[in-house]
Amino acid sequence: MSLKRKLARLSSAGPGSRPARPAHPPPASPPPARPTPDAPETEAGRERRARVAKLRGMLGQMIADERRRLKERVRETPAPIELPGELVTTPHGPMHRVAQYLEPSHRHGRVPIAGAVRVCARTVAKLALDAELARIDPRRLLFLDTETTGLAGGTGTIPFLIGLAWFEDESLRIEQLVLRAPGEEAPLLRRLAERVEAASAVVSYNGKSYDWPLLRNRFVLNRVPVTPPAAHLDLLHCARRVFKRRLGRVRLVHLEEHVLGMRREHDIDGAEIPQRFWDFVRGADGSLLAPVIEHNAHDLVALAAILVSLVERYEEVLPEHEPADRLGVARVALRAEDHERAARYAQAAADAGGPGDVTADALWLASEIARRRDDPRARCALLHRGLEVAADALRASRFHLALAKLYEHDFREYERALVHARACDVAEGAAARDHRVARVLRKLERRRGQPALAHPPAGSPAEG
Amino acid sequence: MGEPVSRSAFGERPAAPWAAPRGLGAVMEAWRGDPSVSRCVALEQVLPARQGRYAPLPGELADPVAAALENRGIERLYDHQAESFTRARDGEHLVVATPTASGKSLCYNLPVLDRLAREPAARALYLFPTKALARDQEQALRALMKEARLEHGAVTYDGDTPGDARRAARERSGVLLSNPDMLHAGILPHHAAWARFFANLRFVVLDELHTYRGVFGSHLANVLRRLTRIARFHGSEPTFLFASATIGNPDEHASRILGQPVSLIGESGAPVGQRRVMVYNPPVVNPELGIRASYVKTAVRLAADLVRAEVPTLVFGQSRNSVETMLKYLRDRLAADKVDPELIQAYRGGYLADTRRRIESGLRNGSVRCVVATNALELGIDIGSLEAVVCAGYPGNVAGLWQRFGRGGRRQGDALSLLVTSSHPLDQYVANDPRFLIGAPVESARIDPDNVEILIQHLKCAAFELPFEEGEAFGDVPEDAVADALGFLETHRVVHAAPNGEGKRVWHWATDAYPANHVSLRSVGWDNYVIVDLDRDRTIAEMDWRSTHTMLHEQAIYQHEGEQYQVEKLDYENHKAYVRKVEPDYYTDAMTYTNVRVMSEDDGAWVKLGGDDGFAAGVGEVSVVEKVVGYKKIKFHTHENVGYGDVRLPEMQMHTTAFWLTVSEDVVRRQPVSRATVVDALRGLGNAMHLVAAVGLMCDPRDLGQTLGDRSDEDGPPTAEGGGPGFDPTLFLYDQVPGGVGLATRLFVERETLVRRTRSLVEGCPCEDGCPACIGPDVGALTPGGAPPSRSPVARKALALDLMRALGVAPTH
Repeated sequence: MSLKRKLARLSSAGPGSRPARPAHPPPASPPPARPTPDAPETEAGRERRARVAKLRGMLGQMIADERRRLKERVRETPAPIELPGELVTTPHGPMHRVAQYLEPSHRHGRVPIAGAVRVCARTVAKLALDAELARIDPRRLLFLDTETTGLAGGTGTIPFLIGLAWFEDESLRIEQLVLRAPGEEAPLLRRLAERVEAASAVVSYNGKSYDWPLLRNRFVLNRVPVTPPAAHLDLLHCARRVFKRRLGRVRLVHLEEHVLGMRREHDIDGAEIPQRFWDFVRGADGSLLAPVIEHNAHDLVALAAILVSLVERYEEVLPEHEPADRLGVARVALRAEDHERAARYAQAAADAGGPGDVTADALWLASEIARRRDDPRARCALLHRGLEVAADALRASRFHLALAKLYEHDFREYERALVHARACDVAEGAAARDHRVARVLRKLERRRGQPALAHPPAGSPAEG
Repeated sequence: MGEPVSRSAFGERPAAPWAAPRGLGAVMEAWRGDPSVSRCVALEQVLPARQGRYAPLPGELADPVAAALENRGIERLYDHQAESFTRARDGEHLVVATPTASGKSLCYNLPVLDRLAREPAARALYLFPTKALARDQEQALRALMKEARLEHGAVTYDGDTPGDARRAARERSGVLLSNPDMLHAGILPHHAAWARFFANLRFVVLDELHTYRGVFGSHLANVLRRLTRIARFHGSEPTFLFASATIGNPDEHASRILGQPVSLIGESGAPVGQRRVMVYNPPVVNPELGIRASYVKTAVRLAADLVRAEVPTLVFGQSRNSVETMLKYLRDRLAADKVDPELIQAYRGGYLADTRRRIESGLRNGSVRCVVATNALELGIDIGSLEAVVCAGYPGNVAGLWQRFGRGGRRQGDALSLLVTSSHPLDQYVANDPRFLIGAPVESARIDPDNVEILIQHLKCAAFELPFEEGEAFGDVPEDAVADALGFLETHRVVHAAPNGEGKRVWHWATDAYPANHVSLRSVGWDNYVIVDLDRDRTIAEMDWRSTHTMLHEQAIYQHEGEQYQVEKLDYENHKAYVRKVEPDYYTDAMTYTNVRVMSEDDGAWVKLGGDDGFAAGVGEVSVVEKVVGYKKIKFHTHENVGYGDVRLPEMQMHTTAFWLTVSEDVVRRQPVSRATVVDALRGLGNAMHLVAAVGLMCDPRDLGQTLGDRSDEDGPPTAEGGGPGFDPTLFLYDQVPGGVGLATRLFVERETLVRRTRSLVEGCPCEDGCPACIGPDVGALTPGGAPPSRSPVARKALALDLMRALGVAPTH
């Protein structure tokens, strides 16, 4: 059986495929010619052939008429909406570009985005826990966000919209490169490489593990040389550390709503994006992509705004900053070995009168910082405060445990230690608790020089 | 327990266990002296030891590699190793097909290490059919590379490789060890991230080539087409080195898999010790029906003699079920001799990785003396040398048998290779003419890389990896066929054609799917089922979709590591079977119903072999529907049928290629017996023809399905009454693989030989009136396995021969 016939019998092309549409026929190929017998042509045969030829002629005429009518109808309808932007000629082929400037006073939500050119590189490095970033020049940041033909990754996923933005003085220049058809990626990639090379760092949202590896694939596949970014600031990781506690989810839209104080109107559903691109490529008009382009531009501006907002939160405690976010910053500062700031923010988080668990965790963090600074008195006070606000058994028990150790080992106040040790079971298990209680009792007994007042619970280990 | 002591006190045992004979020689002597054993021996042949043929270390071998060999005391090579080195070094694609334990891995390791020593940037890719084999080779290769002072690593890259190690594998390994599945779904679709690896790829090594047959082989050929295409994109043309167990057509098979000529290194220079090959045919217990004593129990008895005499023994079973049954029987039997049951282990596919690892190391260090295995152990896992191999049942092909025998045997000293034949027709065919096992040409491996279902799936993957340009071929698939297929994918909107700068059409991947995730190389498109033990809430094994129908239907007894579990619930949708441990006195055997319907006839012929009449033969595409309709309960030890049960599972449908023979209604009507009797005789002929086809094609009979139906029937097989008027009984032999791999087509070409040999098989069979080795015992419509047969009132065998005569197939004598 020929491959053609076998193909004809396959009902589906498997996952990812859609039913064949008669409107898009396969490349025309003549049907296999039937073998004709070598017998001399008969009169009847000749007549039949003439009839077939006549019919074919008539059919051809009908089809041509139909086509003409269709064309005329197309001419009557309003011209298709073009893709926004312009087609520019480059030495590597044509490239579709959507360019715009945003005024220095532009705000995204409540945040003035031009603040991004003044951010302190050292702060950024701490926020991102990446020392490389301490050397960046904030005036030369390249904001990058792509829209792709799928989320699967691999060489078959194409970033068909490469969104770039950078500051020129204090105006944000947005340049979005749109792929008009697969196979025309080279000029887009060249432009991207140029901008990456000019930038002191790339700023993205999940670009380290998603956008950039995909783009790297495209450079390899299209044989376009590229220098990797000098530094890469992935705001997803920074935002997660600061806002996850409060927001739960930290996609860009969540941050816009709860951090930048704005809501996008008519934003496109991300799941629709790949199909819109393929429909566009297959001949649908540019209006299909307009919302995608708008969505991408929005994301780029949001990147600048989130950077400003994060840096601001790291540098200064403002009354409107949520306690949970303060706690997040405190944790980041602690990891960045910025202990003074960590202590201040933990304290600020604890003092803000937020939810009990946030206050308790902030006090716990503050007590840990006090421990590192070797200040048991301060630590003791923080732990006692924590114990007061800790609402759940596990948190309370942890405070008891820390206090039990503190009183036993640091202050040698065994009676107080005993009170807390008895409440340690949730944190360390009943057996360890019993053991601890027994030991404290023994110490107490030795100090008093008389038998213990209380007996250890039955079944506890004798000595350890 | 404690029974054996008192029994020996009564003198029922000839000797106390500690006084029992030890060693292989003693066992052989005991068997020879026992007429109940010796009269069943159908073949006993000693294959003499063979001297080695050697060659010096090649002068061109890079110094550090030569030094590493010399340090290991290797100062010369077998001549086939030296030849492989020289030819591989010249960039010739090679297949090394020499027996087990002939030093095949050095044949490919030497040229690879030599290249790495000379070109530090060079890379090699090793592919093994299983993860276990890759891990095994990794250790050996690392040691050798270290001794040769090569800075390159050898890294296994498979589904178990952790994330950070993956990066190292990609960037730093000189030799990457992996499997075809990982290459297919994890490497090729991300080849841009592997740019340096592909740019420097010099050698691709594929070991265990013989395992890549049928669907798996057809898939692999397509994965290699993709690999070659990607390597070319990155600027390399690697040399392919294949290693295979002995098969009939290693070079043809390798060339078909690669789509380019591959030359053969087929003569081994390695010495072999003396090997005693025995075929043991259990005695007939029912002469009328040709039924023999259970081969499973016989194999267990013989293996127990070996284990008792402390001979390290490997027992191969035919199926997972029989392996578990034999394990149980062996442990039970040897418990009487106070043999620690832990000395006997089972090994099969479906066991989780760490269980298998434990058994492998037990075999090597002697804490395991006997292993009962399925063919999962056929592959070249290093288990040390075993003195005896017992094969319970013929594996279906000579290559498979020798592959199993090859797991035992040593360079020096005696070894025993014992085949215990079952009542199965093919086994009896072998037992009647056992000499064909020795020196016979072994079977050929067949694949069909152009199977359209498989090809299309891989074209999708290839388009995902790299757009196709107009005029581009795909391996040995010509450009116009590629264009047709891409056109098909375009109408399904999987790819999109756009002109490139030079005005050529380029097909780009155009959906958000990741195609490799939907293509499994091992079977056509279905995931495994996991088996969950309800008592321990743990996954104990996995099973493929097809076997699930017969082994994991609800109420089935599933056997695992010598324990029995009953399937309580089969969650068909979510691919889970929930089982609970039970201790039944029976196991279950599923009953399957098959229906074949012709969808299109590609070719047809009227076969006339001398007589007046003839019959129609055809080949074409068919739809095969299989359905498990019930199961039988078979009692342990007695193998009595003790009950039936229903199974409600969806049917399995497959489109494949079939060969068929149609007997016209006229001929049926002219027979002097009832239609039902004629149909029964035809069924018998189908049995014989299946047997001849399997032997003639030299393929595994399980790759070939057989059933009786109607050429035009839409409603299923003929009823017991033999169908209504207008019924033309038709014998179907079909490829047991969606799309087919070329077996049926081959049968159509050889149809006359096939029919003639079927006739002579039936004529020449010494049985009274049909036995498993010819037309089979009288069987009803729904009796796979061994349901109690009922006697047929007429002479079936004579009728079958009459029928052949009526069809114009003249007697051979």
